[in-house]
Amino acid sequence: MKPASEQTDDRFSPRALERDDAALLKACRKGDETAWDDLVDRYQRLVFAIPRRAGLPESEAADILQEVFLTLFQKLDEIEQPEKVRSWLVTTAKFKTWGVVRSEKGLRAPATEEEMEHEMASLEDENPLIEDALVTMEQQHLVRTALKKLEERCQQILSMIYLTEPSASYAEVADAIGVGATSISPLRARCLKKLEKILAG
Amino acid sequence: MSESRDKNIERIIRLMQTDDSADAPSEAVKWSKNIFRTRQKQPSALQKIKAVLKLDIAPGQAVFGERSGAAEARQMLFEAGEFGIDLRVSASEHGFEVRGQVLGEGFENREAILGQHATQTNDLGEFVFEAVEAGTYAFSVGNGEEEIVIEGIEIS
Repeated sequence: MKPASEQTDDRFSPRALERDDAALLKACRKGDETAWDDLVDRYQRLVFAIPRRAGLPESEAADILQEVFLTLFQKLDEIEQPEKVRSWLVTTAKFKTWGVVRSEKGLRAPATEEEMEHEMASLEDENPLIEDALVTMEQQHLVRTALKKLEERCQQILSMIYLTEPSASYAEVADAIGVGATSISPLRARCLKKLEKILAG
Repeated sequence: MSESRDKNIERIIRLMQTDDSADAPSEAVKWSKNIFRTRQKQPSALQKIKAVLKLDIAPGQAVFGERSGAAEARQMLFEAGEFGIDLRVSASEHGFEVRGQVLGEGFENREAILGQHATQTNDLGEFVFEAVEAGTYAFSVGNGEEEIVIEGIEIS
């Protein structure tokens, strides 16, 4: 089975975001500390979400996050496709998570990625890291990353309407950004189109 | 808007609404960032050439040497040793478009970097970065032996 990050998705083809990733990784190879910070900031949430989704407590998930970035740091110059660093991070986080889950069951960690994939496939019904869940998590990561590419006003509008719980009303959004409430619906639609365009690469 | 586009937008909305992920603990993030500070800086044989701004023409001003018409893009000319970099910045639907050309041989079909954006120069040393956000950027283009660097390019 292909890793989630390598499965074809006919709706998102975020080439622009992947080019950003590649540029960040290449800058890291040249010793750019800011690029490394940006890479960690960009991916910490996705990497942390994988062990959390598998049911590991926050402290163990944080350990896995650190291990994943340590491994990335050690292999910075070995990653052949810098634009695929997202796939690399997801696979590495999944591998390390599955190793912890297995050891907690008193089993040894899988020796290879193939072994891990085989085991996970055989447990699919009770597997918290099934491909569908990982695909959704990656897509949510892409939407979050694309959202940060929008101008501040669009970020604010979409965040208030779709990312807060409970969702803000149009009147509240209008108050926050200083426009009339009737402007929010067309602004929201325009911002969503821009978001879609970024995600289409 | 087509039905498939509507569905795509609905899907993006659903992904936002169901995103229950949380930031990792700040200490773990800080630790992960600090790993990089242990990296040994490698001495490099690459010769860096810092470019100096020689000409900066704001949009709407007539371009020197042109009889008519005003530039729609901000035009900047940098000098970097025996090389030059021509940069043109114009507003686009998604921020700014930054076009340019390396004047001088040896930087054809090479990677050019502007902040987090990366692209390739063509056979003429031309390059374009699209959807660049306003901000201050460093630009670089290298050919394995020399690297031209422009620091502090303000795009606004």
